[in-house]
Amino acid sequence: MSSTAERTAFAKVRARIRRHIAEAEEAEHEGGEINLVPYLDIVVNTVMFMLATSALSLALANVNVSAPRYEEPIPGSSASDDPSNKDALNLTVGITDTGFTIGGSAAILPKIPCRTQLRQGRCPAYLATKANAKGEQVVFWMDGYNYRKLEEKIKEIKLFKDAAGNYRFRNERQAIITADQHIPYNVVVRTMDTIRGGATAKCTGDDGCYFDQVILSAGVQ
Amino acid sequence: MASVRMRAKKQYRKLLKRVPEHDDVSHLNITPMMDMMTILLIFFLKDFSVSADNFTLSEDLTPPRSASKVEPKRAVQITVTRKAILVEAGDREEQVAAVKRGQVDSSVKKEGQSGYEITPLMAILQKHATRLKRIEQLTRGKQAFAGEVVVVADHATPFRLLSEILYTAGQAEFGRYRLMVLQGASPTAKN
Repeated sequence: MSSTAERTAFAKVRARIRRHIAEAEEAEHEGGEINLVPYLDIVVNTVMFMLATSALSLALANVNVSAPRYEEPIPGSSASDDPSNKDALNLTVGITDTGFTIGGSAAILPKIPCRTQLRQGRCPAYLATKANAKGEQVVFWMDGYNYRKLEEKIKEIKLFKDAAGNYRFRNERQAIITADQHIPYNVVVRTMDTIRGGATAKCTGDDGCYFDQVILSAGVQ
Repeated sequence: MASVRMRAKKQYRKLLKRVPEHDDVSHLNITPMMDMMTILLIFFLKDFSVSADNFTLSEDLTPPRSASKVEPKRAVQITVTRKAILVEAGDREEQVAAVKRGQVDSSVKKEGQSGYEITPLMAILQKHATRLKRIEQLTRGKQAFAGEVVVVADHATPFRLLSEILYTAGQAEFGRYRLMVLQGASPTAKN
């Protein structure tokens, strides 16, 4: 009796042990998959690299400009014969050593002088350094051109009303920029920004957009 | 009977010790994380490959800041640093002319010091124009030659040098320019 009970008890124990071993083997089998951890390391590192390098591309933009178009004159005709050209503004903004000049087909406005002037009224436009609060040298643009005044004038032209009270140049969107040969590119881009204003679809002037089609012309010699 | 049960339990515990223990770490399910990472990686790789910017900011090359929000677009890129003019050639950039004190040497200009056309730049841009026109022909106009160049220039570049580059590009049938700038108004833009 005792031996039968003992056999039964041992049989049960063996069955439980087999079950445990089977479970352990199954667990081991699951753990024997391809080790993805090294791959995961590579992927994480690559993603971090991409995140770090793509931060720069988010901060970039384009400024679209075009060159002046040249057309052969048609014999027997002149530009003034074309009715579409007759009332054209032909706004031209020149960046000179001493400030901005604004001209159009109707008139040339008085020069806009610099906010701060060097000798002979020249505008400062160069990279300079100054010490910050911590005493470190910081590079900054020393720029004395009066962009605020330029914007005021540009807005005035865009929203100019004739004697009948109609906006004369509201549909004009083109402006030509020329500059002295040593004017830094930074000043040219800032002038373009000022002339363009905020880009909108209609660009009517009162929406903050002035002349959004910029043509770069050769420098003033 | 009780002793039998006791012996059985004892043997059970003894045998149980031989059973390998469960490794909890192996059960950490990393598959969702893997999926997420792979999707992110593919997105970044794709974004990286079509990214229009192909330059590194340095002391010699810092584009100006602008309020423009026009998305950068890929086109033939001309890079103007304080030391050289570079044009893309395949996967790399090739130096076409050296720049000293904001100007190129008169020997590389067609008409000398007063000239506007930079001869080596003209040659490489003409090659690009021919290549792009050939692509237009082969794709039957689907990839039309737009005559666009992207100009990445340092903020201190004099307007004369910029004019020379744009003039040369214009002569090589690239009449539309995209000036690459850093987004955001200049710190003193409100002046």
